[in-house]
Amino acid sequence: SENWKASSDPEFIDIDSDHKEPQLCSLYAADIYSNLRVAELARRSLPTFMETVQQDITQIMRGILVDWLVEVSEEYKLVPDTLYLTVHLIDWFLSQNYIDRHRLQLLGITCMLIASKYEEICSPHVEEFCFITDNTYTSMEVLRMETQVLNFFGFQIIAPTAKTFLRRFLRAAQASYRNPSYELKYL
Amino acid sequence: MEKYEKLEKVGEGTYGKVYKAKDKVTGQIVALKKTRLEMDEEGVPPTALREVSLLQMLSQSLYVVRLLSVEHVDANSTNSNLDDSDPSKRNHTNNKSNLYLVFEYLDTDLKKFIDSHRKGANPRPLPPSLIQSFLFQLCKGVAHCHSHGRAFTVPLKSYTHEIVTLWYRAPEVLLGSSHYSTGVDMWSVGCIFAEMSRRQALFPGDSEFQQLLHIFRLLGTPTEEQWPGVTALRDWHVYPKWEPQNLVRVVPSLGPQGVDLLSKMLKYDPAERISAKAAMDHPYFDSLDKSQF
Repeated sequence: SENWKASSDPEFIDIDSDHKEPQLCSLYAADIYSNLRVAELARRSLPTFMETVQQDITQIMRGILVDWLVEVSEEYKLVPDTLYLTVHLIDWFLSQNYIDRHRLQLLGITCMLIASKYEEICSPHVEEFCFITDNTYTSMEVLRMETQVLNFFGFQIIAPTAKTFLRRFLRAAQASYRNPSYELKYL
Repeated sequence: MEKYEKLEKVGEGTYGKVYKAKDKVTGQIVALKKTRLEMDEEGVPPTALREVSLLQMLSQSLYVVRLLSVEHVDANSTNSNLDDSDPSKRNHTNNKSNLYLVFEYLDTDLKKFIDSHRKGANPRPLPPSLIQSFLFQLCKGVAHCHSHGRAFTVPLKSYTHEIVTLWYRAPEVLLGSSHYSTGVDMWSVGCIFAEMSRRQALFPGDSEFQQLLHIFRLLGTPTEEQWPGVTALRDWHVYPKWEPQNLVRVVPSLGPQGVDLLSKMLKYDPAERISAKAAMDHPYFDSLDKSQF
């Protein structure tokens, strides 16, 4: 087939041929990404949750929350993976749990706390997340929400996000460059 | 966690306790691991969060212990109806929080199994076909974990230095590399492979330094030709120069193919070390009926 021809073509560049750099996991890269694509399908939020599950919050409120979380992630210098995972966790929680507007921001910072603990080498403190909400919520409320969210997920918080795939696509797009630029992602 | 009836305590460590327990409704026997979380002000510790979420992802495989469910029991919320009027009591219960992991119950493990062949009334070697079968299943589990990992397109993430039980720790970790990868697990698999054949640990070091000397005495002190970059690793020192020994001397019953596979798992340069996936295709497994796995 077409694919097969492509791979035997001498012009085709195998982006997984660098076996000398163990951290690229070149031998497993293809498997890893195919498993990630399966995982992505298994863990998609309901596209209609705002109309079907939620009654108090709106698309606009979700948009404002996400914009604000982008600022929070910049303020605390969080890695982009944390931000993407945060938004994924929020949408997934909202797909199956009704929440009223007064607790939407609480859900937002709690998901960011959880994502930070998973992704960051040094996650911000609970108190810092409360502070950034102008102390709208107490740390006790955040910790209770954390328990509720983690139990709902059954601790299955790992999910591939757009960011996960972007790395691979960037590598593929620049396969012939000797020193691929990772700055491109900001375009 | 009320749905389980504790039958007996089967283990205890710094993390907490492990019970053999029975599901009151289905009668299923499970292992209940209770981990006390030092909650203070920060909630679930990142280490516990990562361990549990990774385990959740990986335990779909038949070759990885099955995690049946997880529950975080916040003592504060469950006890809040008991005595809300006494603030000192509330603060006290506040710090107690338990993480319950419910696993499938397994009545033995490889360590106990090897011990049962080493000591007791009837010491005897593990049958070669069993070693072959166990090693294949081990590689299969490790390959599953590695193909569900994350590949870094940019090798920039550095990791914690203190990983893996000392005896099974790869030389690059012992020498202070923080950019290790899947090869560290293959080193451990090699150590376990040898241990099944020997019925005793291959490199039983009692400190990081002694651990390296154990390795160097058997495999020779590594050189730049063998392992480019080794002398630039953080904890590299000048060591006595040992010559490599013949591996057959430490695993005489393994046979030539087994020794060849072991030598590929114990390569110094992590980039040269055999992967779990490639190991499964090694001629050592030619006589194994792989269709059963």
